[in-house]
Order: sequence, then structure tokens, then C-alpha cells
Amino acid sequence: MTRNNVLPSAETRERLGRVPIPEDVGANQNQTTDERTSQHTPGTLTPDTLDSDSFKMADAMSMLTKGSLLKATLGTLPPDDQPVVQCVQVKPMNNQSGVERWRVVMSDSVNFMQGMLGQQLNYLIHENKLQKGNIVRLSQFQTNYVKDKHILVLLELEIMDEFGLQEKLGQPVAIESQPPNGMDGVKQEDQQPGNIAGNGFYGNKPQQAQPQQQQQQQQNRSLTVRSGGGGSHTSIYPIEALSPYTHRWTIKARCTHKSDIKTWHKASSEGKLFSCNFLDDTGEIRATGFNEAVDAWYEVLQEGSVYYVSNPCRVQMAKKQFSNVAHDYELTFEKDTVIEKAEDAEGVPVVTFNFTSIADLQNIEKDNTIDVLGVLQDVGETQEIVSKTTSKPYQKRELTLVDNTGYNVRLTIWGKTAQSFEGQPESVVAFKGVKVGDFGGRSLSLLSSGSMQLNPDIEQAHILKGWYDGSGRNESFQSHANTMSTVNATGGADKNAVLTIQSVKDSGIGMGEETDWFSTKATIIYIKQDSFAYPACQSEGCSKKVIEVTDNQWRCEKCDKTWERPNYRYIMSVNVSDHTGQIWLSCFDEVGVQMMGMSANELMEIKEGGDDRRVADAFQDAMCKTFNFRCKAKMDSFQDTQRVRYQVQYANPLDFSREATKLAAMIKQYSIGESNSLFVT
Amino acid sequence: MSEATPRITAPYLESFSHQNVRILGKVRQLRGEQATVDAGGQIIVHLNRDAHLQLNHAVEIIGKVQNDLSVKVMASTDFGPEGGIDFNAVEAVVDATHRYHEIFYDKE
Repeated sequence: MTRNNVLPSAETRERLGRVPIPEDVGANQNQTTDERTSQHTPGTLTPDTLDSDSFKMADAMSMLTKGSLLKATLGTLPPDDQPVVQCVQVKPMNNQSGVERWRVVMSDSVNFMQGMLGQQLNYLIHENKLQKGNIVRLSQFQTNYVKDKHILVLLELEIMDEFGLQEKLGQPVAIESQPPNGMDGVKQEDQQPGNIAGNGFYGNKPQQAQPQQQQQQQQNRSLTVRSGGGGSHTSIYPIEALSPYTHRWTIKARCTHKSDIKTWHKASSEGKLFSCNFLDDTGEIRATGFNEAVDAWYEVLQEGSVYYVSNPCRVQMAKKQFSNVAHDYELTFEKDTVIEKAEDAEGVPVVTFNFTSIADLQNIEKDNTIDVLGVLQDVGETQEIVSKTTSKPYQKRELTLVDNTGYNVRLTIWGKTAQSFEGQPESVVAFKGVKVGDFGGRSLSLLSSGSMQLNPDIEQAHILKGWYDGSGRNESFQSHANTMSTVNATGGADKNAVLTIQSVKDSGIGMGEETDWFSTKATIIYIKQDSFAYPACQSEGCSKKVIEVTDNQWRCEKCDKTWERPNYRYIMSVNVSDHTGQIWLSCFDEVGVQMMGMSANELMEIKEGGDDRRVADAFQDAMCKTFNFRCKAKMDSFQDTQRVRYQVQYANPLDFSREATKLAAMIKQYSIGESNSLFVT
Repeated sequence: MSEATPRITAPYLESFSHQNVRILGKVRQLRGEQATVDAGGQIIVHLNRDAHLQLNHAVEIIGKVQNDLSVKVMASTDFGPEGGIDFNAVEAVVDATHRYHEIFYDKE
């Protein structure tokens, strides 16, 4: 590549935004390519004889922030600096858990460094925006030191399209493996020849197995079984293969759950224990430590960290009723058990889940243990309950989860998890080890051996978040309560049938001794405006009416407490109608809020404030809303007359798609048996 | 409501030539003044000034069926991304409209 030493016109100069420097031009000609390009002064070109590729290349070269990669590894790079580098390799990473990850190698023409693309940037690869040869600016990144090698973690980058794709600029070399801050605790278990994979990856020389040049795939998660031999850390056993018959073993696994220390006092013995679950890429196993082991290891083991556990350590048959992991055996820590923290978590997966969708919960039998992933629709307050059996107080919290199968479900968390729960509504939560119950149709309860993760970085979670942000937020969810299996069917009525109002009246539902349930789809046509709410006790879960003893003193008999202000709760009589007739239903607070769109307290405030207009408006707004009402009917003796009273348990807003399908099916019923001659194809 | 606009899909176009109809379909192609909408089949629609169709959105078109079975748009409503619409329900409505046409429009 020769260059003419003619200055570009002023116009070109301006366009290029560069200032030519005539003095250096002549000196460039006799130098080696490297030196010349490294000293290249921009702008000293003639537009006419422009070799656009070489122009770009030379320019690109000058854009690269040479030495920045080295500085980044040493930690001397100024914090706001955004190095400009060239991407010299793009390769996908084999990943067991199915997560898509891309490896890249970045060069600043002096050094090259291996890097990993943050998942949020995967789209750059999909859309072919980031390719081998691109010049990019690293707007957000981190450097990690893993297994004697510096790795770039790229969180945000800017593709400098103007340079297109370039040949490799400069002659970058690997950075000397200097651990930052003298970190040298990394185990040298990678000596095994079997570990070296990633042949042909940029800069790798397959034959080298030296510890200095750790050329294997750094984040290759498919590394599993290594043949035995050598020191205790060179033979990592897969958890799956653990049995009482193995002589020496070391597992490298993540502690996915650590229980609290439990103590027991019996006539024969007393002591303390704790248990934890270990996970590696072959499986999970439970481990328990007693007495001295608790003292020795309880503080050492932290949930989420990776450890090497070696025998002596007892391997026994698993007591499945205490465990929620699928392994035939379980570990018991002994006096001489060795547990060491692993410096790097390479090769060990994070908690794996096997999710069941909320709609499928219907098909899962009660008492089964599952994992579930959903969006938090509602987070209840922590409630203190005293156990009836043990008289001990404990905490619980109710969450409502929804997912894209259109169902919602209540999930209860207990104890510490409930107290310290920080999830905000609309965040995605994953639960592992959840028991299925049938309270209110279907309900979930987090086991003490279960765990949860807020906004986990897994694909299904991202999909769910995307769905929720898109349409999920406004979707109405079918509650499993609509398919209540707890209500015993006495009498012939099908509990789940949706009835027209006429049939409700005709069929004499509720006339019998017991309460009957039915569902009906109807529209609110009138709400009684007088006494729509009553003052209730503020205690959590208590909705007893409070009496105003004196001014600002509301007393609850049940709780024996007095409050300054009552918590108003709706108690409304609404007249609803469908195409067959109308009926009066009474609704309580939860349904009231749904209908009115505001809490009873709010509405009372407006009313007491004298703003009757707004009160009237509020009622107006609530009218003409259609819901699927799930109601209870029962006989009531009221001043000598017997009347059936209908109470609403749940009011679900309509899922139009589902309703449309129901209507279409109904219409089809009309044409069964009819000839198809009318059907226009 | 002076005139009925029966809801149709592509197969019905022939039977409703020169009539005003209503079509709910997915926008497949946009070509300036013209667009292609998929409603049980591809329909060419000629847009008017106000029509702002978006690709892969569901749209309801009210228009007149031309000789060549294209539709000249008189009014259009964007129904949002096509994923949000249950087209089975649409199909059911169209079927019911024609099965019980006395309710929906006058058929001579």
C-alpha cells in the first residue's frame, strides 16, 4: 500500500474531520507495515486514488486504544474509559444448560484478550452486527481473572460500522497471565489432557498444557468426568456416580441450599444438625452435618458458592422423605471430611429448574413437589400466625404468581424467607421445591428445603418478563379456584357449570340445606349506594365490624383492640344481569375493590369529604362491567321469610379469547344436526 | 347504522362483489398505496389517505369489494400486534355471520 503525499482538499478534510500532518508523511514509506500503520497519520490521502479499504484499515488502526486491554487487566484503566478494539474471533460456547453464550476475542492491536458476550448482547450476533473483523467500542465491560487467564465480560458495546470488517490489525499477543492482586489460590486441576478442548480457538495452541497458558475453553460447561489418578483435586467425581462403594472421591459442586441449624432434644439423645444440597452438572445430592460438623462447616458453606468436598465422608442411602433432590444416596459429614471453597465456579451449573406451568398445576397431584416460574402479581404482607399444633408463632406471606398460560396461583412462603422477601410486583421469580396443595383449587407452598430466585438470569424468565411487559400485565387470569376441587359435591349440580341467571333461579340452587356453588357471567347494572361498606378491624386478617365507642375510638371485640380509624371493607349489594334475567348478589371487600377500582377506605374518604359528585361518578364507573362471578348460594331466614342469598366469592374479569370460544361452541350447538347446505365455503 | 357491513374472509370476496364489507386480517405486505392482508387467504387492499397499516399487525378494514376482488379501503382500524388477536374467534364470528345471515345483513 503506497500513499500519495498529497493533502486532501479542504472539503475532504472537513468531511473526514481530520487534520493532516505533512511532516510525517515522507518518513512512512520505508518502514515495515506494522510500524507504518502504527504511526499512521490520518488524513494524508488523496480522495482520487483512495484505496477505501486500506484507508479504512489505517484509520481503524488509529482508532484502537492500544494498551488499553493490558491496562484493564492490571486495573489501571481509568474508570470512564471506553476502549476501542477489534473483534478478531466470534465463536459460540457449548453450554449444557442450553443458555446461548458467545465467546469473542478482542484485540487492541497490541494484545488480544478472550471475552464473553453478555447475554443482552446476543442479538448482535443474531443480526450479524458483530462479526470477526468489526471495530467496536467497549461502552461497558468488566475484566475477570479466571483460571490464570484474563477474561473480558462485555455488557455493552458500540459497533463502529464505519470501519466495516477489517483484517486483523497489528500483531496482538496474549497478555502475560499476571493475576491481579496476587490471587493465586486457583487449583491446578486442569493439568488433565482430557480437559483441553477448544482447538482452533483464536490464539490457542492445542499441544500446550502448561499451567501458564490455560488455553482450554474457560467457560466450557460440558467438561464433566475426568478419569481418576493424581492428587485429591485432580480427580473430580461426578455427583451422579457417588455411592458407598467409591474409595476416594472429590466433588466440585455448588451449595444450592443450606438449611437452618435445627436442634433436637430427645430422651435418648440431643444435638444439632444442618443440611445442604450440592449440585454439579451431573446431579444433585443432599448432605447433612451433625454436632461437631455443624460447628465446623455451617459458617464455611454458603449458598451459591462452589466447594470441593472429599471423603472421608459417609455416603448412605437417602432418606427420601426429607429430601427434594433425586439421588439414591446422601452424604453425611464426618470429623475428617474435607471441604474447601473453590476459587472458580467454572463447570458448575447454577441451580437448575424443571418448571411446571401454572395451568398444568391442575394436572399435578396434591402433595407433589415441583418447581415453578412466574411473575409476581401480588405480594401480601407478612402475617404472624401461631401454630395450632405447636403453639409456636411463625411467619407467612402470600404471593400471587401468574404466567403466560393464563392462570394465577397463590404461593405461600414461610419463616425467614417470608420475612426477608423483597420481591416487587411484576418481577419474575423462580421457585424450586414447591409443594402442590389443593386449597382454593390449587395452591403452592414453598418447602423448607426449597429455594427461590428473584429475576433469575435464565431464558424462560426473560421470555416471561417479555410476555408480561407486552400483554401479560393487562391480562385477566383464570384462577384455579374456578375449578375448585375442595368443595365436596353434594347434590347433583355440576359445580363448575356456568349458568345463566334464569337457570340459577329456576334450578333452585341454594334452596337445599347446604351451600351450593355456581358460576355465572353477568354485567353489573346497579349497585346499592347506601351502606356499601362497614368499618372493620384493622388487624391483619380480621374483618370483624368495629364499634365506634367514642369519637375516633373504634373497638374490635374479637381482637380486643381499639383503633383510631377503622379499615372500611366493602359489603355491597349489586344487581347483575345477563340475557336471561337479573339477580342480586352480595360482594365483599376483595370483589368490591375489583368492581369499584378503589379501596373502601378511599371511597369513604371521598364520601365523608362531601364530594357526592365523585362518589356518584365512582359508582357510575363501576357499572356495566361484566365479570365471571363465582357464587355461593344458601338459604337464609330473614325475619320469618326464607330467602336464598347469593354471595360472590370471586369475580374474574373476562378473558375475551376464552369467552369467545365458549360462545362459538354454544352457537355450534344450535347447528348440530342441521344440514350443511347453508355453509358457504 | 344505515348499511350493513358483513364480516367476511377471503373466500367470501366473490359473493360480495361491489358491496361494503368488513375484514379482520393480518397485514402481510405494504407497498405504498397497496397492501396485502391475510384473512383466510390473501387479499389485496387499496389504502386511503388515513390508513396507517403496520406489518404483522391485525387490522380491521371496512371497504368495497372491487371487480378484481381487491378491496378499496374506506376505513381501517389497527388492532395491534397479530399475536394479541384470537383468530379462531374471528373465524367463528364470520361463520356465524353467514350461517345466520338474516341477523347480520340482507341477502337478496
